[in-house]
Amino acid sequence: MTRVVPRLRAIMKPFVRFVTCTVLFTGGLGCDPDAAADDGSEREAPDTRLQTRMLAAGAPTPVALAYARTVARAHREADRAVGLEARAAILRAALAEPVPGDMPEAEVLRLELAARLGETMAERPEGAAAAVELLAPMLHPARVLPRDRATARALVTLGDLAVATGDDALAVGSYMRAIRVMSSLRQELVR
Amino acid sequence: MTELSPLLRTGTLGELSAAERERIAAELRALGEDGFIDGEVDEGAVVEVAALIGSVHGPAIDPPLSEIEQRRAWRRVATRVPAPPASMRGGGSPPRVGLAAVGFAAAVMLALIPTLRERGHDRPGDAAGRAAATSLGADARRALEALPGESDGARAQALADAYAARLHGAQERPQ
Repeated sequence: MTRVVPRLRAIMKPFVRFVTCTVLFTGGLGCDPDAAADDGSEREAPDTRLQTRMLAAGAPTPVALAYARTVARAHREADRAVGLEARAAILRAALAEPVPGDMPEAEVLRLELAARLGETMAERPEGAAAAVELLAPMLHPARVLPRDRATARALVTLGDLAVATGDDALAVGSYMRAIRVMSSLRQELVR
Repeated sequence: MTELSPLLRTGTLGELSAAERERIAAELRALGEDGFIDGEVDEGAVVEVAALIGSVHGPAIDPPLSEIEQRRAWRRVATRVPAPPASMRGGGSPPRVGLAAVGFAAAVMLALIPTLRERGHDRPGDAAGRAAATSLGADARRALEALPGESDGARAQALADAYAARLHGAQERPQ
């Protein structure tokens, strides 16, 4: 029992903050309903829409294999690259590689590449805004995203970038969606 | 410049014809003036007002009003002007000082607008929201680290290896 309580508390903590943020960003904090309505024009509510799909394994084709190897090589080269520009150029080139048609996992690999590229770009001054422009369309709330760790990682990265650019609504929305993806993944792991 | 009436030209009623006197008296009655007594114009009041209007339009009053007459004229005009609202009473400041004060206040407001805007954005709710976002981000990152799985190069390499194994297995099976 003594071990269960701290564990339960640790599990519940992100979700308690999730609820807290929902309350804060949907105007629940405002005591004056008129003031809350006025705030709506200035403070955008976070978009927490999330649609996910199970990631199906694609058919092992030579093209899909070549694509996966290209991405893996790009990451290795990026690890060895000296300087932000060189690393960003390698990741950008890998992201621009044509995606095989019948390869569902390609989206996951692209999300990983984009998240890493975004993190690299954000290391430069003013780079966070450009990184948000790169990642936000890929993770748009209207899109159906793969239920995968890469999606959660990319959403967390987008949240960090949004914090860096001062877009609190995007930050909270991204973190909330990331937590929901991770919650779904944990439920699948438990089953 | 509009043609001035004989009254304004001369500042006296002496040169007015009976018709002009009657017209002026009718106008004054229509305005509710109390300077009429039995069809006669309160010559003193008319002359004072005429002198003031004349001073605006330019013709000299002959003979000019004495200091006491000018004070009377201004006091009479002052009694006919509605009192300004309390918020507009400036305590007798000269007009230039008042204008300067208004200009200074406007300049101060213009200078303060960016500061006020910044303060407006930095409300307690915003600060709380930002703190909540930062805290939520820390939790999300911790949860991501605790989530099993690979990322970046390791993930791509694992996928490539799995593809290769399945591809080679598929190729080997028919043989």
